[in-house]
Amino acid sequence: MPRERKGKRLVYVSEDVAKDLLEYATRAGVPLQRLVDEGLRSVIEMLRNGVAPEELRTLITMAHYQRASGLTLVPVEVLRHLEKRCSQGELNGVWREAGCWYGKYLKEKAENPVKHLAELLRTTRWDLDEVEARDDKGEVTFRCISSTLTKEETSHLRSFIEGAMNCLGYATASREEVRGIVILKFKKQ
Amino acid sequence: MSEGREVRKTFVARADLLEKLLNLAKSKGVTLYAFVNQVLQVVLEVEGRGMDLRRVFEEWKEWVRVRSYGLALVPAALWSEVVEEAYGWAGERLVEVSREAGEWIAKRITSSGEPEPLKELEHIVKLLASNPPELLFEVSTQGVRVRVANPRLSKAHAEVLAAIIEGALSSLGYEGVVKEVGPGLIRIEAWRGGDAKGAQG
Repeated sequence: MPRERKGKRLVYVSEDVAKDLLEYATRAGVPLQRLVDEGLRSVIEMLRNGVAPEELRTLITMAHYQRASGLTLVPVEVLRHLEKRCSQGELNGVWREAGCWYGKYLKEKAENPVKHLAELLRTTRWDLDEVEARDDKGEVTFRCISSTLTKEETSHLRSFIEGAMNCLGYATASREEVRGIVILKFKKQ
Repeated sequence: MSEGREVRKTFVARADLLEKLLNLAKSKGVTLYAFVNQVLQVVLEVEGRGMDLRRVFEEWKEWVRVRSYGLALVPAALWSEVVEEAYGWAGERLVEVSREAGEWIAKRITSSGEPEPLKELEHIVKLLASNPPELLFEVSTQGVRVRVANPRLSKAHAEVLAAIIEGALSSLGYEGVVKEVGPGLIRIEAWRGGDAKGAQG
């Protein structure tokens, strides 16, 4: 049980986390107490507002990429209309190109680009019910499921992922695509 | 490594916050120790990226909210390319669909019981226009004047955004629209009951 003193309590943390916190506070010139209290308060508020603990990282990644890599908000219906009217081959090319840009970006910026790509898919246009990126010794499997995507949109999603993965240095090994479901396998080149 | 063997350090934190964390940890079925470590690692990750956790949280709330208005995040370059291309060969239909999207957004605003629908619409326009340097929503008893200035808005983008605003205003009961739309600039005036001439004077 943590010890208490005048509205404060001692709480145990792992040595690694304590070391990192102290280093960061010193480097940033932030009082350690403030860093801990403000951090705890914000996270509690997020958790109490329905963010699951495992979602915290996805959320942070989304906020980071939104700022750093030029995501923009658009009305889905307008986008859908445009996608219907454009040539599918051309649009797949455009999505693929957009994916490639993100692949290159993540290669430079992210420690684990594949994991970050999965997080990006969760938070952007696709409205996916499930996203899984399994990395097995250089063989990556992407599995995305959505109950709302049309056949054309599924194809754009596939193009986006392939564009990103190819530009991350993975060759497409196999692809399965039916409305709302994309399963892609890649091999490290 | 098991928790028991780890070297532990102590920190001082506010008792009320720890109490809340303890309750949350219990509800998730994890120990306070494990939970505090997880939370503080998130705090470090955010700070390490030069971000503000409170702002991230506000952005998340915002994101959840705008999704309910039928908005989605897409790569800006892709949106730009698709809009520019479509405007070339189907500009009229594009404007029509955008207007319908605006009407839908306004209906969503009013149906959710928003006390100040125009304020909410202003907020959505701000997001759709990528936080323009100048955004004015001037509301009077007769009508509303909207001005969006953003040098990054192309003609096609300005037409799409203007149609969304126009559709939304019409759905909110403003008619008699007078508008000026061009690259980087949108100016719309609309009046209740469609009496444009009267309101202009």
